[in-house]
Parts: sequence; structure tokens; C-alpha cells
Amino acid sequence: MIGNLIVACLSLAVGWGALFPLRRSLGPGLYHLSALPVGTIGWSVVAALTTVAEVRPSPMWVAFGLTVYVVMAAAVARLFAGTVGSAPVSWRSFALVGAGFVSLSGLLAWAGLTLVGADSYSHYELSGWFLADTGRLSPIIMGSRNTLLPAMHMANRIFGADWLYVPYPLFSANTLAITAWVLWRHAFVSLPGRTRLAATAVVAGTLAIVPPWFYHTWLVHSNMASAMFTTLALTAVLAAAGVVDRRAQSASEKEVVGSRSAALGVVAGFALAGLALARPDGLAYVFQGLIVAAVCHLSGALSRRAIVAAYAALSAPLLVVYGAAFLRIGVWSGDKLQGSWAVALLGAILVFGVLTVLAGTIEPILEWLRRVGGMRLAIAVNVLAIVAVAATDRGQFLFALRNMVANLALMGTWGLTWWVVLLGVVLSLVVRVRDVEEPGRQLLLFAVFQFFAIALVLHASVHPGHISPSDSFNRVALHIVPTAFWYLASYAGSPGWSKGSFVQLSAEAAP
Amino acid sequence: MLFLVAFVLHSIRYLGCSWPYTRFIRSNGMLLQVLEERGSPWMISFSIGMASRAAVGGPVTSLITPPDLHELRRVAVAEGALDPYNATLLQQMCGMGLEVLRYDPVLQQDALRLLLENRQVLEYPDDVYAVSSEAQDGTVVLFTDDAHESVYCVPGPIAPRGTQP
Repeated sequence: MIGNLIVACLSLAVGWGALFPLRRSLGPGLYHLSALPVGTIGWSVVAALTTVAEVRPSPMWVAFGLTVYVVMAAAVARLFAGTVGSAPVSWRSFALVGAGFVSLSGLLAWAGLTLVGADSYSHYELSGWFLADTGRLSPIIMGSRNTLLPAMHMANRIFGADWLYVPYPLFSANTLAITAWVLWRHAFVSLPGRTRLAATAVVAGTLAIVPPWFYHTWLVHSNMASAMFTTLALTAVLAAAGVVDRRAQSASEKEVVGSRSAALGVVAGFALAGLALARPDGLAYVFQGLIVAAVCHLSGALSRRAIVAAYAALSAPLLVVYGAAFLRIGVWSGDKLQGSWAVALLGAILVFGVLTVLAGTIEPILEWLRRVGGMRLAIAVNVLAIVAVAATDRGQFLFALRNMVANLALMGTWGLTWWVVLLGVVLSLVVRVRDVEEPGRQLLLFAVFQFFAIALVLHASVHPGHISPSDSFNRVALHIVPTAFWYLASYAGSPGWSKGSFVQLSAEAAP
Repeated sequence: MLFLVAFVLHSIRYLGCSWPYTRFIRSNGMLLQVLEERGSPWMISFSIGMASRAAVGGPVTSLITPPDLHELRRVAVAEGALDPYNATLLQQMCGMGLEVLRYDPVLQQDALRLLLENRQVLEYPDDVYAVSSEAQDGTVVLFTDDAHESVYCVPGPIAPRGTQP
């Protein structure tokens, strides 16, 4: 039990340290909410360092690895720390968050509740065991589960425990808290005080009892961690683009929003790095956040500095971890992620970053992109990619699509969840609300679309799956649920309703 | 609002009445307890891995096993059970390379009695036993009895036919 507590608490502490230079820019809310996700990446760095040094990990190596990560992450953060703060992060808030976190971790450790799938013990736990014994990243680890969770399980063993279960409900709580934060700050911001609070609590509470969400809260697997990283990355990108605080009116408020843009870019980058390390397909899903960021950048909403910050924060941990893996085990042959695919995806991330910055720099391209619309262009490219995959192997494409739809709609234990989301999305497209939040809502819907586009291309190409709650895509769909809820909530909570500025498309189309 | 209420009620009913997932385990923090409560089709591999570690008191440098677990135990093991997946499980659990050799893993009664005499034997699920010894070289060899009912994880220095049986 004590190992579970140590791993959980060290993750938070490391996150605090890594983001310390950004605390004023982020403000207390986002700073504390980002700490656990950013801190957990440190475990991958520990495993990478023991791999390079070829030593069996010990508490000293854990301390060394986490310190290296904190110094590296804080150095990246320091480069992009803004000069204007939204609100100071008081020592009292550290004490409150710390006490709450330790208490919750202690309660979870004492309760001992855990849900176990075959992957939980045969992959995550055993990969952690192997790391604890040898300190070596292996082709099995890199190719099947990636490093982040096996490294946490490794740490648990180093600290004398045997079964890691406490961090998983903490990931869920952290993601629910991030969702509540965006609901409060963005979706329901125009509602009056108590209604705003009630709406935030009800929607976050509703998310908590979505059946697969509740299941993954306790399941030892990668999906809740990935949902946390996905939600944090999109939150940070959209906050950096000014979507969350769109109603900043005064000059000082606007200065704060502008100043924290790069700091939020750093958080987005770390969250994407966490996603890339949490699952073997994480490197592919990183593109969701990167494409949304690029669309924001090319529309002028996100500064170049924020884009560079995001890529710097994304690259630093990936360089260390993948560098260690390539150095010691070469280009591995794996079950899910081949070493050659990892090289290709890392290269694609780099190229996409360079192209994003270049496109935002070269005036004629930028002008053309603004005329065409970055989001429209991205949707077109996605559609082309899907059509290309379908044309390559129509049978497999239809098989994968059938599995995906059947799982979300009927067999994947989602109950009414995706029906409600689909109905809400259709409603929001038919009965549009014109208000200051509309561009932000479009970005949220685009983020959901982009996620499914990547999932469809990925699963139709390499892993068509099967009809079952345990199907890979059925579990992966969990990652986007908070964003879908955020979108629907921002539609329902639009200030446009009270001003009567909604537009029925049929009426709009009429002469 | 009605929509939301209906959705919440549906989720509560779904979780409360249907519960389509694996059941909750109250963990005491031990992998073995989790595995025993949940059950696993690969339980014998976990038992062999844990027993082998117990036999040498830590990570195993080399685990010598026949290519098919059926040669060790005939019941409750899928055909060709030391498939790549089981091999991966053992390899990860023991933190070492797995040596798959063609050898006769069967110990006749006399040889088995001699092996177990005055030695501490720890039992693991699926009739797997760890035989401990003070003489250690990190190697473990797997044996079975003539009825193929039990699996014995034996440290290399006391293995009846050495580490290259």
C-alpha cells in the first residue's frame, strides 16, 4: 500500500516542481490541475535513464531520474514563463491541494478497490516487474504498452508494493476536475452564480457515472491516463487560444490571457508527451492536439511562441525516452508499435511542427490559409485520408467501421452515451446559437471530429478490432468523452439562448 | 434538462443493475491475491514465474523450461501452452531470458523424494512448487512428477540433471 501512496504523491510533487516557473502564468487552478499529469511523465524518464545506464533501478535511481525530469521540464517551462500572472499561487493552496491529494490517495489505498482486466496483470504489472528487475526498456514494453504506466508499476515495486491501483482513480478525479474547470470557466460562464455552480457539478457528475468512465476509473489500464492527457492538452490549447477566457474585456485581462499563452503551450506539450508515452498508439493521437493547435495558430488565435512552447515541451520527454529505447534496443519489432513506425511518427510530428510555424510565417500561405479556413482544410485532409484508407482495403475499412459503430451504439457498454452525444451534436448544428463563444465551440467540435478521424484511419489500417466492450477502439473512445461533454455543455450554456440569438438553419436558408 | 435527468437515471440504472464489467476486487496490494480472486487463463505461467523467483530469492537469470507446458502438467493448460504469450509472461516476470530446451522434465518418485528431502517447499496456485536451496546461481529448471500433476521450480545447483538437463 505504501508504494501506491509514494508513487501517487511523488507524481504530484514532481508535477509541481516541473511547472513551478509557470505557476504565476497558469494561475492556481490550472497549475494544480496540471501537476499530476505532468508529474507522471517523470516515471518514463526514470525508466529511460536506467535503460541507458543499464542498472537495476533503486530508490536512489528514482530520485535521480525524477530530479533530472524536474530540472529538464522546469528549464523548458522557464523559457516560456510569462511575465504577467493571472493570480498568485499561494503556499496555502499547495497545502490544501497537497492535503486533499494525500487524503484521497490514502483513502483509495485503504479501500483497495480495483478492477482487473487481462492486460492489467499480464502487461502493465508484468512490464513493471521486468523494469524493476532489469531497469531495461524492452521491445515488449515499447511495442505493447509504452513506458509510462509500466514505469509507474516499476516504481511501485521499488517501494515495496506489489499491485499498483491508486493512481488510476486519481487520474479519473483529475480529469473530472479539469472538465469541471472548463465548464466553470467557459461553458457555463454566462450563467448566474448558483446555476453556474449547479450546472458544472451536474455535468461533471454525469460524466463520472457514464458507465465506461466509472469502469475505467478503477481499471488498471491506459485509458483513464490517456483521457486525462487528452483533456488537459485540449484544455491548454484552447485556453492558450483565448477560447476559455474569450470574454476578457479590459486591457489588463487581455494582457494576462496573452501572457499565459506560451505557458499554456508548455502544458499542452507536456500533456501530449504524456499521451504519446501512455499507449502504443499515443504517438498517433498526439496529432489531434497538434492539428487543433495548428488550426488555432493559422487563424491567428494562437501565437507562434505558444506553438514553439508546445513543441519544446512535447519533444523533451520524447527525446529522452525514445532516445534511450533506440539507443539500447534499436528499432524494435513490436506487437502494436513497431520501432520503425515510432521513427516515422516522431519524424511526422517534427515535420508537422516545422510546417505549422512556416505556414504561420510566410504571408502568402497564411493569407491563403485564412481565406480557405484552416479548419476546413484540416477537415478536407482528414476526409481524404479516410477515403484513401477505405480505397486501400475496403473490406477491412468496413469491418473496422462496423465494429466501431456497433460498439459505441450498442455493444460497448456505453448505454445511451453516444446516442445523447450524437443527438446533441445534430441539435447544435441544426439550431445554431450565434454568440461570442461560437468559434470556441466549433474548435471543440472539430477536436472531437479530429479524434474520430485519427481513430478511424488507425483502426481501419492496422487494428480493425472486434465487437466487444474490451475492443481497443471502444476503450479509446473514452479519451474524447470529456471534450464531447464540454462541447455540449458550452452549447447548452450559451449566452445566446437568453438573448434569442439562435438561428435555425432552415430559417437562415430561407430567402 | 429532462434529457440530462433521463441520461443520469439511465447510467445509474445501467451501473446498478446491469454491471457488465468484471467484478470489483478489494486488493490487499498483492498481485497473487488479485490473480487468485479474479482467475486467469495463464495462472500456471504466473505461478511458475512467482515460484521460480521464490526458489532463487529474486529475479531469475535463466529459466529452463520444456517447449510445451503440457510436458509439465497435463490438466488445465491449453494445448501448446508455452506459446509466445506465455513465454512473454514468464520472461517479463522473471526479468530474464527464457531458455526453452528439449529435455525430459519428468522426475521419477525416487528422484523427486531425494530432491524434496529436507528442503523447504512453497506451494503456488495450479500445483506449482518452489523448491528452495541455499546454493544459488540464479538459474531455475522446471520439473514435474511422473503423473504430470505438479510443477517443481528447482534452483540450478540442485537440479537433478544439472542446468542443461
